[in-house]
Amino acid sequence: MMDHFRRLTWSLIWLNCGLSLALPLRAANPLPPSPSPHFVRDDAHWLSSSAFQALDQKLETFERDTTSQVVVAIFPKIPDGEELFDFSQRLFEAWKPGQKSKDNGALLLIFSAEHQMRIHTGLGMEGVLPDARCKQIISDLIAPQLRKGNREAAINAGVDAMIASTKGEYQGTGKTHREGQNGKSRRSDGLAHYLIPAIFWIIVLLQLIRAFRRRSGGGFYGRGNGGGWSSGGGFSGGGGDSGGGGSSGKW
Amino acid sequence: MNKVWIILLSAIGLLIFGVLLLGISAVSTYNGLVGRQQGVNAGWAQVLNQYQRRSDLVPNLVKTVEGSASFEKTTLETVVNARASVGRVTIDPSKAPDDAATLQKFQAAQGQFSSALQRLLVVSENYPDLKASAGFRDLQAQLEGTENRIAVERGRFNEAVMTYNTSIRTFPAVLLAGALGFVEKPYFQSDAGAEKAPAVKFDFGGTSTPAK
Repeated sequence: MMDHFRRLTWSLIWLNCGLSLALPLRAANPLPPSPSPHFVRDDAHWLSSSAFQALDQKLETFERDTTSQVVVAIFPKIPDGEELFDFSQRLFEAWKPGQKSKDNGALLLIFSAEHQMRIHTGLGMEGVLPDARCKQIISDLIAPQLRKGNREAAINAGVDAMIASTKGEYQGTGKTHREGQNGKSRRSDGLAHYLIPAIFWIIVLLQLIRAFRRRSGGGFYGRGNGGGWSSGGGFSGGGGDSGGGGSSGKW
Repeated sequence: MNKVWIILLSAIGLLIFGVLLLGISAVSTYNGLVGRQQGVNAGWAQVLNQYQRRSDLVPNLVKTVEGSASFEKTTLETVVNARASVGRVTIDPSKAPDDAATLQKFQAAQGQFSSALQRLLVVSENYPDLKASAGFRDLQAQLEGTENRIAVERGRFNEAVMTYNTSIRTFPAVLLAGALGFVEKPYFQSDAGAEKAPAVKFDFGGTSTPAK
């Protein structure tokens, strides 16, 4: 009886493993991972550590104040075989800046070698950061500084302008999305994709625990809720979507 | 006597159970198909939205370009005519087309419109006063953004169509789909030349070198 039970449990686990592995099948080229828990990703090493921290802090405060998520990423070059717009769109879909259903996220992307950049806006940002405004920020504020070689000033000018344009549109909660997730179980998009395997896992786990307790007779609880990540804020994509808004430019 | 009754009753019970099970699975299959079909139609509406948005930019574009002295009239006329012929293709905005020919006709008209716009932007490079005007730069950004949005929505539409087409071809839906009027939907063709390029070619920046 016990044996049957265990075998069943394990087959469930394997089935479940197979299912969750089979789900994300869509990827083309691998994308750079989200900068979480930071709001800034500086692969090209443009920013000094103090500038990095100040920018990160600024963007975190911005999320607390407005729930909007602006993420900055500086790449040494456009990855091989990628095209600027398509790459930005896929990056947005992977990092999901902005809150779900508000879609109030935006990316500021810089590609050092090509001297190209792009502001990519979420659907909920299109009203306050229309394409023409993005173009203005790029060619009037960022590009001139970059031509002068002032990289940190350029990024800050761009981010400040983006923040200024979007202020007032969304009301903040005083918390970042990442903090909101702490304690709560992780909510995620694609309910069917994630919820069902999660329920599966919980059932499997409960059964395992029951089997374990029955055998050892001891208590299993009272150890606190495991090693969840502890953090004070930081970035974690809120599930925002983009329809491809924004603008690109050069310097 | 008693035995016969028991056998008969359990046979009837089994039959009812079987029919019920079949019914339930048919209903859930049908609901799944309806859901996916609606996904396709929603995607279609989004695509049309973005195409409409592009058409809506034309009056403003004409006004801005005409303001620039001596702009080539023929280029502008081509744009206006292409937009008009897009308007003449009647298409149902609430329902994705069922046959490939309708979609192709629509796509061809939009493709011509795309290349007319693209030509106008290329020609505009020869007019420094136009290029320097803030109004024109804004329009350029809007046109570029709209082309990008069209590309995104078309991609999402095609994904929705793929999910739907796959689902009507797999068991058990394949048994019901035809009878219930679910037919395969056509995709947007990405290799129609003029249709594919704009997202990249519209990518003018601060300098006049074309994007890679």
